[in-house]
Formats: sequence, structure tokens, C-alpha cells
Amino acid sequence: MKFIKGLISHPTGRVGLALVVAIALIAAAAPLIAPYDPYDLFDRDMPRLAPSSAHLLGTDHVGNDILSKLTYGARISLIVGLITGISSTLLGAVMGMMAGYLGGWFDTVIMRMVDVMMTIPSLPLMILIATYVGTQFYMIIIIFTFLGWTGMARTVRAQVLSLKSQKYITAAELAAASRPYVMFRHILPEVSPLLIVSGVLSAAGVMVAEAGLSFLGFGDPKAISWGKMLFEAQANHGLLLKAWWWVLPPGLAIFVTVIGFMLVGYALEEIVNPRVRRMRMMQKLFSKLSGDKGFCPVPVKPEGGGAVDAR
Amino acid sequence: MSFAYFVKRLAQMALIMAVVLTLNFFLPRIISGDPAKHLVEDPRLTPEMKQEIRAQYGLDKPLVQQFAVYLKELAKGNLGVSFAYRRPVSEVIASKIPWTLVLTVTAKLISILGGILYGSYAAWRRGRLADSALLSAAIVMTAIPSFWFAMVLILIFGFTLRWLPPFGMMERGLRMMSWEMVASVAKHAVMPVTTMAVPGIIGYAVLVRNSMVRVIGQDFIRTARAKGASPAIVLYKHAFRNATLPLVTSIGMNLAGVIGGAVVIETIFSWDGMGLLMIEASRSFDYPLMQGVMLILATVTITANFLTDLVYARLDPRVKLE
Amino acid sequence: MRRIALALLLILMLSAAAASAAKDDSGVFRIGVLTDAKNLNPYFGFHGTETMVTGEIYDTLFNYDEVEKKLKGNIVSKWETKDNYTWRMTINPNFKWSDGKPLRVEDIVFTYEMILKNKFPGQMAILATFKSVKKVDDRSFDMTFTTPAVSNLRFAGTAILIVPEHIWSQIKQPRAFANLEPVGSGPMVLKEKVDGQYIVMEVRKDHPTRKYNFDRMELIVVRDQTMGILSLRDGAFDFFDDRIPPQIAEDIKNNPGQYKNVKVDVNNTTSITTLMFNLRKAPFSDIKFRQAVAYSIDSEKLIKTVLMGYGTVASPSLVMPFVEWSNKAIKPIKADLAAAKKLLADAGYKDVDNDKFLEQPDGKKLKVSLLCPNAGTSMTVAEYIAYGLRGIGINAVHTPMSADALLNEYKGGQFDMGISSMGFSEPRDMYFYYFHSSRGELGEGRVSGFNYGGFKDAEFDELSTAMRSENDEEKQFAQLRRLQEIVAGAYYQVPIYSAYNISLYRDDRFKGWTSVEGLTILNSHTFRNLAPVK
Repeated sequence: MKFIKGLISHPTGRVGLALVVAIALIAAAAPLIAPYDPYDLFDRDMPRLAPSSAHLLGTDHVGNDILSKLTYGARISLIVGLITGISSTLLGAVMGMMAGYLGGWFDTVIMRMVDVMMTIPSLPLMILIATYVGTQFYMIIIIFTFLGWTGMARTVRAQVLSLKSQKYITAAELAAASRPYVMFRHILPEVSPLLIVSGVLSAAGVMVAEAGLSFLGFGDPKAISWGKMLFEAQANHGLLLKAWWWVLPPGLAIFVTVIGFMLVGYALEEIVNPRVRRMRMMQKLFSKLSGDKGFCPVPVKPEGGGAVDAR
Repeated sequence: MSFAYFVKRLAQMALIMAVVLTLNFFLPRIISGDPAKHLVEDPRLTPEMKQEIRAQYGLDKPLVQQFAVYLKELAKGNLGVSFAYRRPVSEVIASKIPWTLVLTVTAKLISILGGILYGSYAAWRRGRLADSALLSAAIVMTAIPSFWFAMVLILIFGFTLRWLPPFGMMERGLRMMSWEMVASVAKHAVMPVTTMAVPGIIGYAVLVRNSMVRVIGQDFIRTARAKGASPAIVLYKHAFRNATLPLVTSIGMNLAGVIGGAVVIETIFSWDGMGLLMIEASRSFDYPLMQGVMLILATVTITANFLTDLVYARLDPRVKLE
Repeated sequence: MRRIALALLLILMLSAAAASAAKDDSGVFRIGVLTDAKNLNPYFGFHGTETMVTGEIYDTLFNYDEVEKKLKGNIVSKWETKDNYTWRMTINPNFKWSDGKPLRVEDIVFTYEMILKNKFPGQMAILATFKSVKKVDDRSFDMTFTTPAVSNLRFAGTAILIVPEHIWSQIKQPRAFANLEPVGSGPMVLKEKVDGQYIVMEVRKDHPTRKYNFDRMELIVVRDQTMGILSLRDGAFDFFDDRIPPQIAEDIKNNPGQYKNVKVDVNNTTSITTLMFNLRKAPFSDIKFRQAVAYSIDSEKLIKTVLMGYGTVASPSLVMPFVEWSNKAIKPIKADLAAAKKLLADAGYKDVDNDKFLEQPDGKKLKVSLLCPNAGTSMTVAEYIAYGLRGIGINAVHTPMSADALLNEYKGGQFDMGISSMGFSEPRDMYFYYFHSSRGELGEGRVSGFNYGGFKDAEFDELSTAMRSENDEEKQFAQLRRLQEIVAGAYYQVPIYSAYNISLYRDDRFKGWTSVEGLTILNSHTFRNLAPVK
């Protein structure tokens, strides 16, 4: 709650929040807003119609109304982005806490795991998984989560190490509190601001990454997402046929949503960490997102950049 | 840096390498099942023939035994023969790396150079237009999918204005390494390099700007300026020094990307480098090739991280490596 | 800064000079291809480009003429048999390797023996019935097979490229041989190949059988369809080797001014998209149920909506009418929802629990999955069919998956039903491979052949085996027609449609494009007739 209040009073945060809320509302109310139901086969018109009063953004290669697809697409894009952001951050946090707080073997095993994960090129692995296990959108969430927790784990571990020596933790331990209790009761709240910021930024990154994955043809075949709309437009020669109403809107939708999330993340960071200057935050943001654009959604390294530069 | 630390890091490297090697071998096989199935797909083959073909490729033995053979060959420097290219994997990879380097090294150099120039300018003019433009540019560039950017460039410069070739690496019929060939490659590289360098410049500019802003306000800079040194000299001599450290770290950490190429960009522009090789190997289930590429990338990443640590220790005397 | 600008300017000028110094290229035939030839080993070509290149560099013993529909001699000029097991063949002495040496009988013997010894996977299947090859004298040899099937020559004679013994006998591991400097006897020689970029081949004008009227062929790799079409439009290629989607054909028809000299070839293919049932499982083991499903598919409407009209209905014989041995008496299935519902009701399918979906006769719930590829028209079609099935009370969902995973499912033999595609013309044996019960047996959890749905019919088994070794064409055709009746009556694979093959070419630099029914415009006849306009 404190964060939301802070966001509303923060100038850029307000803009970001407004964008995110607006898109979330569109996603939630898609059946009310969209003029047609893109999942209904018989609610289709002729293919590749130019914009008209019946179809404000025309129709695609199978005769689906593009505006309706755009509205429904917000659902998948948001779900994939948010759930992955949350799950990879949580997984990273738990791993980081275990490594930092429990130490010893836990620490060694988890941190070596992080090292290994960072050296495995993620793209071939993703193609294999996508080919054999499938590309349903929950699979995409699982893959991104699995590949994306390592950076968070490192950061949290470092944070926990510095917290560990503090008095109240030692006090709790002396009071014979169990280790999980100390971890979740005392340490987790301390690192949670960090998690929120990172989760929001990961969500933004995943949305761009999902578009990249879809562009190579690995999107969920049954779901409508913005990334897949771009892929369809590209695969069905939207550019060649000069159908700007087909090619531009999904790109813009991704753009606006990602910017919304970034502004929120940016403002949150400033609220959580008021001493940090703007540009420094930008540096962090940028390396988090740009280095891995395309494939590794969530930061592979704190400095950004996976083994493969997907750009 | 102590010798003991050096040894410890080396041992760590070896351990990671061993795990990566194992995963590299088993993971694709576990996920996709039988690697021989693409070889024995034809229904006209009798079961005996299928068995013989498997044996020819050494795929009839248990996985663990295949792994042992793989390790033994690897120790001899043999990465195997690619299914699709019918050439040693090492040869195929060696033929692609130079092309990737043309693209990535050029883009990296432009990014670093441009980043330093723009970053120092923005730092100098802190709070002014150039500085805030950098912030907006950074936000915009992160939210644009790179393949999108590439497609727009191709459409404008390749097909509408026709200034630049839309795809490929060089024209036909040119003698290898002749001047004409170099010129042709340069022309073909303009668009892919631009697609990679624009976000790169902005990324490094932000990094440089931040490092410099930190020192610009400090006393010794003010002293230097008061002594009448020109702004450029002050910037270079004092402020920039401070920016080299994070710059080196960032470059070192991304070294594997330089070898690994840029998958999407190479695909869009038909640039026959490592990125394209990797995606094609995975798509056609060319196991030896896929393994080889992953191994090279992992080795480069691990080594680069190690070297970056060492360089970091040299550059920054305050850092004591554990 | 100025120096850099000067250098850049110099580079630009140099490249402009290189571009403007254009030679006479009127005899250069250019093809845009989507994949590169990764190796030129004639036994390991996986993609169209690889087989296209090696097919021009090397020769086969025979060629199959798609227009006259018969086998023609190439390296072999005379062939005869007494028992259908052993063939005595005589070679044309005028074939020469590109290094000047003549092609000898020893080269042929060497080629076949090397393939058998090294067990190349692709060739092993073709030579499944091959027994031996023996030299008789300097001009003739004997080839023996293990069965009297008439397709033996077609398989072994037109698909195996002959390589020179004096080169290949030096190679220790032919499986690891990329063959980047090939020496062949074919009508073209390799001039230049840059990995992933282009391949240049020069025509040998002195080839004894395959004579071409152009001087060079260039294959240019472009990895994206949109870019390939744009390049063809701009004149960079004379042909783009890819199946073009209907919307592009429509766009060209509507805007001819934007696509000057670009021609669209729309042609029938033998390939038919079908709905395949798994007969091993209920309710698909019930023919009434399958028939009801077939009646729910409105092919004409699907062609209109999914293919924009670029396709045609197909008959349940699964053989297109222009194929010589097709049974033209078998008519396409007409969509009839009332009949479908009646069939289901008669067979005992009722909605017991009032959920708007039918239950099986024994009262069990009925829910079926329709497998399909995860992209393209096949997925859209599956969506429509599943929707149509729900309309007649069958609870069906379409399940898209990657091509590889789909094949895995089919081979596992545990699916319900799925989208498949097949094409029959020559060799006729393929009809046996798709429907004979032995090709549908499950061994080690895998279906042994192309009969994924486990179709079984005693009459079909017997007749198709006889058909394979029938020499009298009249009799064989009669057998094939009866086989088609059996297949059509079984409702095992229900045809959805046959999509047209659309390809693009330019006619401003080359003439002689020859359209052959059932093939793309770039067929062997076009190659033979193609000549520069100038």
C-alpha cells in the first residue's frame, strides 16, 4: 500500500501506473471492449481487410478483427509478463536467501548452479524445449522462470550476507527461532523492496522477450498475444502488403506496456532507495533489459548480457 | 592477488566446465529422446538396417558409454562431425567465427566509442538537453524489440530508398580478400551493425555518463579547471579514468556475446555467423554441431569472466579478491 | 574525422565501381533459395537446395519423365530383364567426369557397393530391395534385386547419384566428407560456393543427355520469405524457390503494376491434406463414427476461407484425378450435417447428461483431440474442423504442436485423430507403404511405417502385395483402382482438400517456362526449355 501511495505522488510513477492500470483494465474487460470475439471462428470476416468502420484496424490473414485481437492480446502478454516476473523473482529470492543465510553446502551448491546456468546458452535449450515439450503459454512462463532466477539470487544473497550480522537477526536466533522462521519472518521483509522493483522490471523484460521468442515462431499456437500478432503479420507478409494497421499496433502495444512497467519500476526504485540518482537507475534498468533482449528475459548477470547477445 | 586465490578460481572454472560439459551432452538427448530417430525415419528401412545405421553412428550404445566416447574424442580435440555439414565441427565453427566478428566487433567498437563520446558530453552538460535526451533514448530503446528495428531499417534503406543491400554478406563473383570484396562486405554490414550499435551506444553512454558525473563534482576536477586546463583535457585525463573500470567489466562480461553473434540480427540479414549456425543446428537436430557451439560459447564465457576478474583486480587496487 | 569520412567515401565509390562494372549476364539463371547447401555429398543432402545442386553435378542411371510418365535412360542406354529380378544394363559411353576422365562401369559398381558398405541412411531405404551389382564387360553390368517389384528400377535407378571411383575410393570416411570440390558427370560444374550466401554453377554444354540453353546457374540464399519475394520483384532472381501463400498471389493479381514481369504459376499437386483417424481406438474403430466425422467437413467452404480459393476438393481415394492410375469413379464426399447426425444417432451416440455433447454408446464421456501442426493453414483448418465437430455434438479440441512433436505422436500410435498429408503418383508402391497392415504394426511402441492409424484390411494386404510385382500395366491399374475403392470405403483418411502450389518467376530474362500438372514450374522440362530472352 505504501508503494502505491508513493507511486501516485511520484511524477513518473504516476504516468507509469496509469499506463499499467489502463492496460490491465483493457485486458480484464476485453470481452466488453472488443467489437468481435477473436477466439470465435465464426465471428470472422474476409481476410486482410483495410481499416473501415466495421473493423477499425482491419482484419488479419484469417479474417480476425485486429482491434479485437489487440484487446484480447493484452491478457496473455500481461499474464506471461507478470507471472514470470513474480515467479522468477521469488525463486531467485528463495535461492538467494538459502545461499546467504544457511551458507555452507547450500551456498556452494546454489552459487555454482548459478555459475553454470549463466554459461549455458539459453537459445538452443529453448528451441529444444519448445519443440518437444510445447509452447503453451504456461510452458513459456516455466522456461523463462527457470532461466531467469540467477541474477536475483546473487543480489539477494549479497544483501542477506550483510543483514546476517545485524543484531536483531542474531537476537532472533538466540531466541531459538527456527531457521525458516528467521528467513521468512525477518530476512524476507528486509529484502522485499528489492524484490518488488526487480519483479516489475522482469515483467517488462519478459514481455519484450516473449515477442522475440514469438518472432522466431515459438509462441503459443492457441493463444493470442502481441508478440504472436507481430509474428503473424511478419509471416503473412504484412510488410510486403503494406498493411501498417496489422504491423504497427501490436508493436506499439508492447512498447507502451513495457514503458509503463519501466516507469513504475523506476519510480519504485526511487521510493525505495531515495539516495540513488536517476541516471544510475537508468543504467541498472538498461543493463537489465537490453543485454538480454530477445531471449533471456530476466537478467542473467547483474551487469546484464547472457552468453548470447540476442540482439 | 595471491597465488592461492588464482588456483582456487582455476579449480572453480574447471568444475563449472565439467558440469557444463555433462549438461551439454545429456540435456538435449533427454529432452528430445533418441538422436538417431532423424536418421532412421524412412519406413522402408527394415529393423536390421535401422540397427546397422545406429551402430555406424555409435548411437546403439548406452548413453553413458556414448558420453565416455565423446569425452575421449574431446580430449584429442575432436568435436565430432556435423550431421548437416559433413565436416568436422571445429572446421565449421572456425569458418563462421570471422564473419560474426566482423559484425560484433565493429558494432562493439562503435558502441564503446560512441558511448564514451556521448556519455562524456552528457556528463559535462548534466541536466541539459543532451543529458535528458539520453534518458529518454534509453527508455525508448529498451522497449523496442530489436527485430522490429531491423525490419524497419530494411524496408526503408533496402527496399524503398535502395541505398543498401537488404541482406547477405557480399556480392557474387568477388575474389576473396580483394579490395572489392572488403568494400562489398562493408556495405552489407552497415545495416546489421547499425541495428546492434544504436542500443549499444546508448547503453555505454549511460554507463560512462554515470561514472563521470560521480567525479566531475569532486575537488580535484575543480582544481584542475581552476588551473586553466581545457575542459576536454580535464574530462579525458581525470574524469574518464574513473569510467574505465565499469566499462571494462561490462565489456568483459559480454565477450561471449561477441563470439556467439546476434541470433535475430543474423537471421534477419542472412549473415552467416555463429548465431545463425546455432539456431540452424538446434532446428535441424545436428547434435555434434550444437554441442560444439555450446561448448565454445561456454568456454569463452567462463574464461572471459575469469579474465575480467583479474583485470578488475589490476585496475582497481582497492579491490582485494576475497 | 575528415580522414574517416574520406575513407568511407572511397569505400563507397569502390563498391559503386564494382557494381557498375557489370558483365553480360544474360545467360545467368538466378534462383533465390531459403536454405543453403551445407554439404555437397550426394548422399547426405537434406534440403531442397542440396539435392538440387548435387542433382545437376551428378547423374543417375535413369531419369523419370514426368510428362511422358515413363522411365528414360540416362547413363544407362539399354536395359532388359528375363525374370524381373536381374537387369542387364548397357551404358552410354559418352559420359565424362568434369576432370576429363570417362565414366566407366566400374564407377557404377563402386557407387552401389560403397553405399551398401557404408550404410548411408537415406540411400539404404531406397535400396531396401537391392541385392547386388556386377560388371559384365566394359559397357554393361547386371543389377539384381531381392523382389520382383516393378518399382525397383525407379527407386534404385533414379535416386542414386553415381560418383567417380578414382576420387571416392581415396576417401576414408565418406560419411564425413563434405565434397566441396565435387567432380561429377552431370550437366553443371561448381564454380564458386560461399557458405550461407550463394552457389555458382556453370553449364557443361557437352553433356550427352541433359542439354541446357543457359550458361550459368546461381543460387542465392535468402532466409526470409518476404525478402525473397521483394528481391524477385526487384529482379534479383528469376525464380524464388518457395511455396508462395495465396494472399501474395492475390496481391500480384490486384497490383500488376507493382510486380512488373513477375508471373504467378498456380498448379495442382498430388499432395492432399487429410484427416487421419487412429483405428486402434474407440470411437474411431467404428466406421459409422468416422463417416459421420467425414460428413461434417465442408471442403468447399474450407478452400474458400482458408486457401482463398487456391485449392481443390479431393476424392477419398486420395489420388488426384490427373494421376494416371487414379480411380475417377470415386467421387468426393459431400458435406451433410443431417446425415452425420443421423449416423451418430443410429450408432448409439446420445447426449445422456445433457451437456450438449454426445456420449459413447456405452455411456462413457466422449472427448477427442485433433492433432495439427502449430502454424500455417493446417492449423487453421484443424480449428474449423474441431468447431464443426462440436456442431454435430462431438466434443473435439484441436491440439497444435511442432512438426517434430507431431510426427512423434503419430509414430507412437496413441493419438485420436490428426491432420496429415500425402500424395500419390509415382512410384505406385507408396500406396502399399501407407495402407498395408504390416506398415501399421506397433513394435517397441513405434508404428513401423506410414500407416500411423493402423488401417487393416485383408483384401487390401493381399492385393497390394500382388500389385507391387505386377508387370502388366493394365492389370496393375485394375488392381490399383480396386485398392482405391477399399481405401475410400474405409474412411480411414478423409480428404480435406488439395492446396494448389503457387510459385513466382520472372519472364523478362528467360523464356521457356513449362508448367507440368502436379509439379512446380521449376521442373526438369523447364530446365530443358529455359533460354535467355536476349
